[in-house]
Amino acid sequence: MNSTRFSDANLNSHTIYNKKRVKQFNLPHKCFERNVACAWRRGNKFSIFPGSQTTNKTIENSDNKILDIRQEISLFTPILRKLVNEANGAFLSLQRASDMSKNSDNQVEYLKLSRQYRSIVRVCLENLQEATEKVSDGLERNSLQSFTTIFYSIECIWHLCEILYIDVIPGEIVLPYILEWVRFHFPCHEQTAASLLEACEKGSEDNPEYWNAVIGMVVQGRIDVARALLKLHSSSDSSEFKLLDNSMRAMPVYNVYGGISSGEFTISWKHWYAECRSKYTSGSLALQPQLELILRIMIGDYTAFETIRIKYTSWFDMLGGWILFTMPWAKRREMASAAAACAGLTPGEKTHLDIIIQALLEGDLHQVIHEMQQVSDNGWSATHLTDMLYHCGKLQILDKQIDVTAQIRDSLILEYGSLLMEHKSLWSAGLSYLAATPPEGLKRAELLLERIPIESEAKAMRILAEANKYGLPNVVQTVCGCMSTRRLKSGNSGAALTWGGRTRSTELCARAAEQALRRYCAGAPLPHAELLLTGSTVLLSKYCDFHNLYKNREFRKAAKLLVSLITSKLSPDFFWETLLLDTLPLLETETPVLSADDTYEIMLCLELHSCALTGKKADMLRFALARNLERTALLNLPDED
Amino acid sequence: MGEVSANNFFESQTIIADHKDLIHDVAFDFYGERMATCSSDQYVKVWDADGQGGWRLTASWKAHHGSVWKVTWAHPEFGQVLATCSFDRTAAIWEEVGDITASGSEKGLRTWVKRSNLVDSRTSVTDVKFGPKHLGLLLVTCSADGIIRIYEAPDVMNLAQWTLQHEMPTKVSISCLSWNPSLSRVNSNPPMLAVGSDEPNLANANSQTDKNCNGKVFIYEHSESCRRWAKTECLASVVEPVNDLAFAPNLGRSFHLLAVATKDVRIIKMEPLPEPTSNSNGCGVRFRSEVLAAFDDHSSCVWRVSWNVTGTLLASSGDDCCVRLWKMQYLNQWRCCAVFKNESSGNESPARTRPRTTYTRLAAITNPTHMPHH
Repeated sequence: MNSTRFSDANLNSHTIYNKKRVKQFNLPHKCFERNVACAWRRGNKFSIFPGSQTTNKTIENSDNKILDIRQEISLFTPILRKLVNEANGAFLSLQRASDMSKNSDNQVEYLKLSRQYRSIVRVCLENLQEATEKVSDGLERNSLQSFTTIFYSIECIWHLCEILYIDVIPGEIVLPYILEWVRFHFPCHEQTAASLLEACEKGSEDNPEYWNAVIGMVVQGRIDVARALLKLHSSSDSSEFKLLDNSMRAMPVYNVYGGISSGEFTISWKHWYAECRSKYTSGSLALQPQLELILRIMIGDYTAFETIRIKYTSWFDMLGGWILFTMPWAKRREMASAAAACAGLTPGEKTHLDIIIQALLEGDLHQVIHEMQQVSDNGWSATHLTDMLYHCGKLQILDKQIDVTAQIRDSLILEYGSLLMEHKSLWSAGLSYLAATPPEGLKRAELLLERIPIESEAKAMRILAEANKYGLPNVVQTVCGCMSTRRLKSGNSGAALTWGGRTRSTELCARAAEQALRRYCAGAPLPHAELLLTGSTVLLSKYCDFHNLYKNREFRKAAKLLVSLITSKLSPDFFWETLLLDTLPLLETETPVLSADDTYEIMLCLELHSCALTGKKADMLRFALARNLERTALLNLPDED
Repeated sequence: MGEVSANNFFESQTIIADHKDLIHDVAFDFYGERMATCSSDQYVKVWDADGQGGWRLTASWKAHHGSVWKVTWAHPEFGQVLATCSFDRTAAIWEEVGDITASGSEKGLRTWVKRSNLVDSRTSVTDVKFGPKHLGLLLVTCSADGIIRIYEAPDVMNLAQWTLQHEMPTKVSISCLSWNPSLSRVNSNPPMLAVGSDEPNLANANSQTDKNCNGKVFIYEHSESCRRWAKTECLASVVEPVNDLAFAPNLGRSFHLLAVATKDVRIIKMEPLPEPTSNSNGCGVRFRSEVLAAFDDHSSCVWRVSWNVTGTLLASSGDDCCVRLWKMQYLNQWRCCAVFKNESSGNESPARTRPRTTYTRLAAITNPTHMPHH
């Protein structure tokens, strides 16, 4: 393959680079005349502001504006949503199919998937057409129509690509497939022919489209239809018509399963060709110029094709006819000369589609990919088609003698995946593309995923689920950390604790637990006990248990737990007061629940933490402790468990 | 079939910033949903994305007694925290208080409180940056007299308390800083800072500066064993004053990428070398650096460089009043992919009359003489 051209060709710049020149955009405000600076936001969004790092530039106007700039992404139009999602499904199936067939050839499966992609495009086109009919707004109609144009082209390219590189073709004889492709994508003359045949009137030549339809049918290789149409001509019984009809009927058609070898076919075809040629040179059709033109087409006369070129929108309308009448035995890899011949019929500038189709026929796939990247579908077609060809093993691209095929495929997928990550609901699809191109894909996924704005708990949970699915622990940590902080700052320490627990971060939990206790001291209610599952929050969790027991009037158990909390000395200084005061009601119960030993322990703690509890409260507690000691000193409280 | 590649355009939307003087910095938060601006008018403003593509001013306050050079967001794991630095020789830490989860009308009830004022510098503080999240809550500042200071908040819940951990004098004026965002799990990848100097090159040349290297970009690394930061590298390839620099996100590469705004846009690859021979005193060669690109398209001084989130696009701006976008191709090559510029002949855009949330397509400049050749 031609590798030198490729290094120039700027392959990987599908978003905004035009191969001829750098695109320039006008900043609409005067304030950008003297200073500009820029700052990135997320994705393909950034800001331009009239910034400066110095003050010595005196600026008279305080008319400062900030421009928020983003790339226009047509793929995010709602009507293309289905296309994006379904293509994602096909893409993932393709990756699976290729994983499964590492060793074996899996062309049939690939062909099926290629057809699936095409049917996705077809459905999308139908939706677009339907929508175009309904819409009344001119601007919107325009954009729908331009999408339709784009996706018609993609369908056409993909179909040809499938024929030339993906399909399994017996004997590699490509002609019937090419004819089918031409008929499918360029049905204009077919409709006229059908209506003429339906009317079935002698003298159909009065229809101004009559000859165009006949020739159109010949060029598309529908010889029977052309013959039927000629029968409708008022002078179809004349000798000239009979002469041509004979030649058309006698035309040999190759069929791999027809029982004759290609050698034999070639001999009979050449014989037929010589016969047609002699009919032409003898001038027997000179009086019927249209019939003579058909005969000239049938002998592959280049000037004849030039004559009719003007009747077709593109040169590849005639590709099938050219191959049919000059080289019907041509194999897949022998299309270059036919492409050059047909493309040569078109004078003037070539469109992207022209270039892509010709490059496909020439087998120049890197040119195809390069041109596909210029298509305004944000890389949808370039990415998926390249990936398809890559898996089929049909892609080999060299840059300075290095095989860069995999890099190009990866970089396209990475770009496409990153693009989807920007969308508020397509991001999970984007993630699946990034995950298909490790290791860089996962690194990018990590950066992009943790930056997805989290508007709700549900969104956070979705991001967590995806992060876990693709094994991105850093994202889990970041999301939980941010959520925990957010909840903490809004005073919901229970939720903060839960988020800390989700990532098993002792730091986050400790921070939240501490705040919960502090807030409890300040009079706020405790968080729900079921949130407290982590080891680092033992104190808070046990303290909640204590409250529950107390609420359920299980005073004996509650007392035991409280004493164990006090004796364990887990409590931070600020919490001693609360713990100690909590013993008060338990000391005052009708039947004693705190034993003499417990009472001694509490007394000890009260004295050890004398600064935590002072004054009247301390005296009250001492008094209660003394009373409890009095009634339990000689009593052995039974152990309940 | 018609032309299939007509577009690939950008849309823009205008925000009236209403700062009374030059804007020096615009910074987006981690999610790109909040925007902070600062200006010579000594004010800082915070804008929130309204979810429909527009921006709403939610706070505006006088933050300093001099031009505010830079504003930067802390990682949201530390809350809604901003740091600013100013000509008034201070850097400040700001925290948003009020219920940040509230919606609707209550959303307006928010204020930014100054949690801490870092007054150690005796000259203008030129840049301020929060460290990567995995290092805790760290802040680095640099000042015109060339001193780099690293602060830490030991308790992330208490932003009033910052301790000055390290002070590194450089003897040259420092204009910009960038943390290396790579995770420092591996020993060969310790916490790393790049600093750029805008010290002008005098005609009678390097008198005071580093004898070995008159470069303008220095790399500092934290050594776990000595518990200190040390200058481990001076990039010899950059000898002109540096206005801005930025590390690209790492993406698991074995090397670091540093963009430098100097007389041109530079992209420098720094590949850590396996264990240096003389690690003890820290003067072993740590990196093999290579200039991957030096674009002089701005044909003048370059003021800023900024990477996108994944480090695949670099934006640069310079004295030619152009913003250029550079795109990374496969195999680490860069190419300019778009240029944004005010055409003074152009009349004011019709976008002004539109509602604020509408994006309008940016007009392309058609004059072919402006096209740079590649």
